[in-house]
Amino acid sequence: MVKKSGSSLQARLGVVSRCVAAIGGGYALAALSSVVLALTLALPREEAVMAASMPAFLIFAAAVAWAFCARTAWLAWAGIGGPALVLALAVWWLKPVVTAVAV
Amino acid sequence: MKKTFRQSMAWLHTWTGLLLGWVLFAIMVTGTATYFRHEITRWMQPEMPTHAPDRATVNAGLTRLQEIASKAGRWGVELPDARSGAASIWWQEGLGRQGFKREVLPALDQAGPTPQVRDTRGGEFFYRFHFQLQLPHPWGRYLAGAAAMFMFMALISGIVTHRQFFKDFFAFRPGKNNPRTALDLHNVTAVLALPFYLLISYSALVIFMHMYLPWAEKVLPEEKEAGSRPKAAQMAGDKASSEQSASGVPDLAMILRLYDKAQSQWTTGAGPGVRRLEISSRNSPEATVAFSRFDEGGVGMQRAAKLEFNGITGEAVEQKAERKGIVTAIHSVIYGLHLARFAGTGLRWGFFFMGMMGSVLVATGLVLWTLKRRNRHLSAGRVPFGHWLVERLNIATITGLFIAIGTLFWANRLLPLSLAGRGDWEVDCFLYAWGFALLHACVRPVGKAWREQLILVAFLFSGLPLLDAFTVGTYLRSSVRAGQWAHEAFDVAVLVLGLVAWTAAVRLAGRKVKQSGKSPTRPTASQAQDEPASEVA
Amino acid sequence: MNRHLKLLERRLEFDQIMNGVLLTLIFPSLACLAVAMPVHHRRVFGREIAPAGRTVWRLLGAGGLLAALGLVLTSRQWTVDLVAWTVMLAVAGLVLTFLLTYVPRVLPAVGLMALSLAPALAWWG
Repeated sequence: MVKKSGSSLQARLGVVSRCVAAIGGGYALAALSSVVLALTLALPREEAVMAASMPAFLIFAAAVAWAFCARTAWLAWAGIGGPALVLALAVWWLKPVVTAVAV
Repeated sequence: MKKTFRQSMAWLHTWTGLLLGWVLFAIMVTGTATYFRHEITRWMQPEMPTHAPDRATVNAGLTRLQEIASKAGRWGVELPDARSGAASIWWQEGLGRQGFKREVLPALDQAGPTPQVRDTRGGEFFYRFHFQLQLPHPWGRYLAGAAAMFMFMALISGIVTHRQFFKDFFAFRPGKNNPRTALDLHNVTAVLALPFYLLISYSALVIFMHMYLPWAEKVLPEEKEAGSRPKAAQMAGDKASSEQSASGVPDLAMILRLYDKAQSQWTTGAGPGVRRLEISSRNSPEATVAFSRFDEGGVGMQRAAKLEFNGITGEAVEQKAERKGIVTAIHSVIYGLHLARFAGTGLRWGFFFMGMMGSVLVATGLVLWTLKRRNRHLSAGRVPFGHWLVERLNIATITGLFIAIGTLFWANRLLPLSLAGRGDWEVDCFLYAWGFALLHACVRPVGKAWREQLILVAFLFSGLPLLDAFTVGTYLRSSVRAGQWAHEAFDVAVLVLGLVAWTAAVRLAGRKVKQSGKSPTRPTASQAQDEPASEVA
Repeated sequence: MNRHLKLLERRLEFDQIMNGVLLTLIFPSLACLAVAMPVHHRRVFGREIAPAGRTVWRLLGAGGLLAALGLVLTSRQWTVDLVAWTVMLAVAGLVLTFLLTYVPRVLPAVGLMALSLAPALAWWG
């Protein structure tokens, strides 16, 4: 299995790139999704934290699966980086609102 | 990344399963043992007396506290449940962890000096190892979390990879020299307890989510809680208390009266009664007496019900109502299912059994990795270092862990009772034995290493009941007379495990093992490897 | 003996009886599902299975599992028993697998014995 994909340097780099996308990108996506959920859910603090963090692990898992089944490494990155970017923007937009409400 | 989705998932299954497989195996086995954590502790501390969770025990505990810790700011009495057996008392003289002491209550019905209870970590060792892996905080928990995430991924990709197992349902084909056997065992153990594996890996992540994903918590502003006393003030209160006169000390008779009140309030509904009582800020006007209740059954983890009284007047203190939303309920069920505290004896054995199936699942997975690649390397005439390493780590982990556990139990019986730091010595024995197993696995040929380690496991485990009878036979007999079977159940369980290891070793020896012996890195016949994993648990 | 301990013990007892009933219902049901599969049917009965037979065995098996599930859901502590149901499924499945491997011919006898134990246990409980 590894021989076939690892026969050329490019394929090896592809695997490394996907691993980084899966672990680093997947974790970032999960973390961002938990933050966005926590900021948008209208629940008491403790519950909002739980409701935001519990599904994040599933999102992490989905991102990892995507990272390794996308056709090219570029697609793998796009599929994870795209949603992460959207979520990051959402955090950037939500954060001042929430702090304003709290104060 | 492969041609098809399924091939990609197979690749993912292979590597997520392998990379942290050894860690996962150790977590699985120690977690399985943790289901019987209290029973293991009782076996490892046979001198431990037993108490009933009743008024007499509370009275004895309070009297003892009065004798040895009359100045302490905080007192506590913990009553035993049917599994843990002994009541304990604790007290705290200073601030924080310092000055905190705990002791097991001596037996109530016994005259004369009570025997010294041996110093050991008991079942607590397995419990801690299960998520901390003897590593410095917080790295053990992070590694365990990574292992849980890898397991979760391996499960999801494994479902896709091994889809055909529904066709082979209930099929186990024991064969010789055949990876099929290991694969069958891998499939059978996987599919039958699949919900269990999905649950324990996911819930492991959820239990420590404040460590693994702290971001939601960080981004939300803290709620300002009205009414509850800040921690610092409470601490200061405790400190001030020790300097005050003893006039405000809640007297024993009143505490017992409050105990009766709490006990009857809880048990009238046919529920469980008081599990622990805690007296805080003794020696101060703010003294409180608090009672908490035994688990009330049900799958969800819930905070134990609490009753609090003013320590001077004996008036009930109003409890803040707990908010309970649907999210909290879901979280508590996921949490509670992992810990399985609700499980009675029968169900507990069921969980134990599934834990063993999980250990077999991981072990067969690890062994399959080498079996599938072995022939290719043999025909190529060269075994790469990676393959050599995986084979050795498999042996050192699968049989090596059991050698280490067996050694821990032997050390518990053989180390002198007076040895300073005895509990730490036991753990050291565990670690040295594991190190020895790793060394042994590296220097012996693969087939021989499996067999010799299996024989050692068999000797250690099947010898334990004998050792037990010779060293603490009197306690063994008295526990039988008292109708407490945990001690015997332990002996029978380790005997069964030992016999399983014997069988595996004998079957390995009975086969003709291809042994080239030219190169130490050359793997031996596959049958040398597919068996142990199937038998070990 | 203290009242609390007694209650605790009664709870344990009840738990064990429920588990017993579950195991005795789940095991024969799983066995029915197994003999609905041609490979296992051949090993157990020594002859090929008829297409109609497959349906009957399947219905019996699924019916038994659902009956056990129904029993679980009516229980006072149904959350715990639902967990017990899935645990028993795994345990019974493994036992069944090894029976099918090593002594397939005794399966009908073992299954019937388990089945007859179920009402006895239920009545006793």
